[in-house]
Amino acid sequence: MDRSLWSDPVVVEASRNFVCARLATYEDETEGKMLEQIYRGRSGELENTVFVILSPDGKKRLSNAGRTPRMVFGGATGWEGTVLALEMELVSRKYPSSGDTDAKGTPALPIAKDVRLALNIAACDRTPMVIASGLDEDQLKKIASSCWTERFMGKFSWALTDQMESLKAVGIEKPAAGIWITQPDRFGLKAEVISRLDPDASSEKIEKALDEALALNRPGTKHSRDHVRSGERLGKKWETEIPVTDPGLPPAGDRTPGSRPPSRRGGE
Amino acid sequence: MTCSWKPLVILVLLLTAAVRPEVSEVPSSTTTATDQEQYPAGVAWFGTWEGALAEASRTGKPILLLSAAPQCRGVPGIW
Repeated sequence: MDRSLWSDPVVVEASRNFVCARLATYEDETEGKMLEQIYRGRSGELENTVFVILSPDGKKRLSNAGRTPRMVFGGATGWEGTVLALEMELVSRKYPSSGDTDAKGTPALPIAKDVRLALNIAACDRTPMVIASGLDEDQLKKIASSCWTERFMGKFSWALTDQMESLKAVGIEKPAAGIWITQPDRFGLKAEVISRLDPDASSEKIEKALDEALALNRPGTKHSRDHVRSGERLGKKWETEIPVTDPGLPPAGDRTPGSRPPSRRGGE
Repeated sequence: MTCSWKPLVILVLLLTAAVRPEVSEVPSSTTTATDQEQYPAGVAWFGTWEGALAEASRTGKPILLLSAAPQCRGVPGIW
């Protein structure tokens, strides 16, 4: 995924008129089937990345589908963001309700499927992760209100859970209900707790803690090849929920390009 | 003897003076660039199709859909 494209200010601004969904490929069977229907590469299988713009009901395609915005819209090197933003602007003009901030209610928290995946995504994006654990609806709405302010939008990975085991699984030794603000390790397998707030923490306290987490965050540069080499050397492994079918993305331990995993979960 | 050192001392002072402004400017500009990278505005991504569809239904906004694998060769932490 081209991080520079998605952090291009013109793209970020244009994105506010859209609901932006970034699904994790190979991490959900139902979503995998839906993505397969949207785009399959030359291999005829679901590939690593998929991109498309859809109508609000998710049924009508408003752009061609492809692996990347550049594949769909084109754009010379360095201009992909501008081209994408212009195309997004054209689409959003056809939807007068887009950009409407008067819609009733508050957007829900933009959570990942589970804590494990949210932590991995936080490491990929090099952002802190917030886990809302065992909270009631009112408190979730309060957090969501803070989450959707311009100050915090797109700057955290979010997860929701009522299962204390899922907190333990990412290295939180004394799990409890509350708001956990954490920092992922380099590989997104363990979380370091920055702060924990009580389940009924005020918006003021929540936002102060989010501010502090952003101030502490020092995202390092990641180079794909070095990261993978280092991960293989250190034995850092990720098991996907469904088989990896991208011929250019072999499963763990398989260095042969073009090979396919024999079964679910990376060849188990 | 003393006089023979003077040109050398003057040269060192001149070189030091010439270098200093550049040195002092580097951290300043680096800090600015770092800050911009540090807290960039971000696209706010819904991480599930269910969540995105509910929000699109609520607001009437079109959906920008992207999918990417958060692992490479089975190593997590990288898109």
